Amino acid sequence: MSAPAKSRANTSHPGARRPRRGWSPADAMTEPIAAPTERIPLIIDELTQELPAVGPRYRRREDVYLYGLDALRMVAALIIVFAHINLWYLASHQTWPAQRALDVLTGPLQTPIDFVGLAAFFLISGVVITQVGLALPPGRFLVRRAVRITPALWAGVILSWLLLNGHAMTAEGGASSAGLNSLLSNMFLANYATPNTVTVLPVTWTLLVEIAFYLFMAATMRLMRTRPWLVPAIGAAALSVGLSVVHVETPPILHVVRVILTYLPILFLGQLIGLVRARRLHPLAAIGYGGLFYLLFLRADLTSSFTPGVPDYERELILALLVVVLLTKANGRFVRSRWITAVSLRTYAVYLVHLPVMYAVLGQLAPRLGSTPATLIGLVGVALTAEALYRFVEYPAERLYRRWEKARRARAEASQHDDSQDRTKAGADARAEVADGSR
Amino acid sequence: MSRALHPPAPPSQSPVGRHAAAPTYGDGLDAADAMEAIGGPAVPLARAAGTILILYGTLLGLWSQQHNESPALLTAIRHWFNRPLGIGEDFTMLGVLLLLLAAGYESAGAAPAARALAIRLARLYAPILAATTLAALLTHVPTVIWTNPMGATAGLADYARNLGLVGQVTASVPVLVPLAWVVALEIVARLGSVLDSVVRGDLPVVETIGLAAVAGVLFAAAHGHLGQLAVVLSSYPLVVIGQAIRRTRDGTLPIWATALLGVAGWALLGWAEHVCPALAGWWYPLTAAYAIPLFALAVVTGGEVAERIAAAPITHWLATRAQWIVLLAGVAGFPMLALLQGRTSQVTAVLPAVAVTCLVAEAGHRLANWRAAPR
Repeated sequence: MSAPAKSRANTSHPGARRPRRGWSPADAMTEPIAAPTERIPLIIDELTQELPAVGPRYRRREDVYLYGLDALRMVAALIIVFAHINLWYLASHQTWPAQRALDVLTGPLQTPIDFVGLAAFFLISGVVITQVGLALPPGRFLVRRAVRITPALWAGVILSWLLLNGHAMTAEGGASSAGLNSLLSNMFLANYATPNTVTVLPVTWTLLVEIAFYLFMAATMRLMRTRPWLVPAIGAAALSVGLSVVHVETPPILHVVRVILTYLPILFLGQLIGLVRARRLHPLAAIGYGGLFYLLFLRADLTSSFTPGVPDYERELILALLVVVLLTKANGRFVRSRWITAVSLRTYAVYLVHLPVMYAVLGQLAPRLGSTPATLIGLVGVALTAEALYRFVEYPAERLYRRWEKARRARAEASQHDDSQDRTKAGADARAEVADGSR
Repeated sequence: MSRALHPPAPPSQSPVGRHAAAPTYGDGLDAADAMEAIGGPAVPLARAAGTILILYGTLLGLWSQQHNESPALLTAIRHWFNRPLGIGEDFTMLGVLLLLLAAGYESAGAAPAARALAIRLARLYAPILAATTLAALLTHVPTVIWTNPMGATAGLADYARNLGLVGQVTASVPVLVPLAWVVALEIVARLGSVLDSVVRGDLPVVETIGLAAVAGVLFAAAHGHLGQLAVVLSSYPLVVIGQAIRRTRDGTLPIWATALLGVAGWALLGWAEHVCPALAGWWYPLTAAYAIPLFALAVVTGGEVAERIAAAPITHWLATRAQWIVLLAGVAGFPMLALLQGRTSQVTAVLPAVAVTCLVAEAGHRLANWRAAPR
């Protein structure tokens, strides 16, 4: 996406790089924001425009937007794409040269790194959503989240459904077609709890975990502003009780709940990072809570044979956690580069489309062209489809909603202004009458 | 000791710039001065954490392993942390790697003048001398100390070889202080800083030479030579990574160069697993994958809280006596555990063992630093 002229002008504004001793969220309302793409002002705006008195307490403006996590988003997306390509080759009993290169890396680590990408995404979500949650009222927070994820999800599900019914790929479990009922279930993520429904886009299960976290955030938002230390404690207690209660994974709905309970501690770990960054939680308290959430994750792992579906996930989680915390401090030229930001903004689109597009391309071309050319073509296909999804669905939908929200707020402020003017006028008249009476 | 009470340092002694003679943690400075000199709380935090982990791993973990005991605390920690995270030897190696990273970070600061360097090297060697002497004496007393192999008796020749650290690199000599190689690598890092001051450039010459030397020894080990030396030197890349992190922080090395050195160093550790049978199955590269970002985190996120913890008396004390405590744990702590064995639970026995280790370490540290003590 090319940056609009306004953003480019902002980048060269002398105030944008002015060294400052301190920075308050309210400054974002008046200062130009040096951002390489149009979405970043939206995000910073989201983080800072509301409730400045009780919101995040950042010291510098550089602390608001986490450029280092953009780079990590990009790497995490690559790892996930790579892991799924690898899975396809394993399932089709074919070899892929890149697998050997990966073994060199993962051999000494004694763990596959497939899930590092997912853990990184969950952690980043925890950090960012907490920052957003500290700055928005619950209703608006939930609506914005819904607008952010739903249109692209629907587009991704429809694309996957079309490819499946066009026999370009097969679904999980070997199904080669899916009816309209399955399409609707998948669009609302009901497929995971409904028996005999084909899952057309298997990666969407992660959104269930995200949505559960959004709901928890919305429910505890007021508390987070007044007693932020209490929120992770409530989360840990709820998770612990949940894990005790949900100890079987049939029927499917219980498996879904178990999956959510298993992965939520990762988002809570991200929340702790977000709270410490926003200076709402003491670092030592965060370390204590972090140990608790690690133990909850481990407990979930040790008490289930199915979830998480990979062994040694704790190692990948801790490695991802260390990298995420480290990269929250990265703010150099490399991580601030336009192309990293541009790619990171498209990671959700890549996440949604990589599986159907890549599997369709590999299924059609790998037997004819061989693994390497087919994989390269698949990657190009994923990049193009993700770009289209971002450019024509995800970004316009969000921008449209923001415009509507802005116009609504402007109308509300205008009517408030009129009301206050009327009240002022009425007050002045009343005072005049009193004055007349006293005379 | 308040920093405000000190007169300003004369320009020649001011630790400014990469090639100035920066003080180190063992120079008798107070916590705040020392932290300022070495650029933040990372070194004291890593040293203190490393020391605690080694004490735990040695006095509780190793002792239990050697005596077929399984205290509930140890079993629980292994079940919830060591096994899932793949950190072996009850965190001992994690502690060692943190110490090596801190040693590298500190050594990259600057090379002192010849006399000051000699004093520092002597102070670093002092714990080896003391622990080896004490261990040699205790091998003739009916008690238990940690030697390799266990229960070794040291003659005069073995004692001399251990003093010269020959035991660490020769399989035929019994090792009286098995962790002496950690301090030996720190001495090597200090000597490397001399070369650093000679080169006086912004290229990572010393770091590259360090990694090349390790690669050479590993290559030799792959062909059947220098196997024991390869085992010891396989952890030296952590020192190099510590040096690179320091130079990046000081602005004399770009971050991509540090990343490259880090990956190369980590790869050497992975290679060593294949080359040295003694290292196979211990998963040291995984432990290093935790230790390196942990240390980097301590460097880049050194905020107020980290500084307060680093400046706390207990942290400062542990950080300044790290080498002594690490080497004496098996020499002073084990006899106390042997004395209390069967009389009390092992977890309870660890407390007096830690106390004895710390007391002997304090005595040794004071003796070695008596001239540097503020008067």
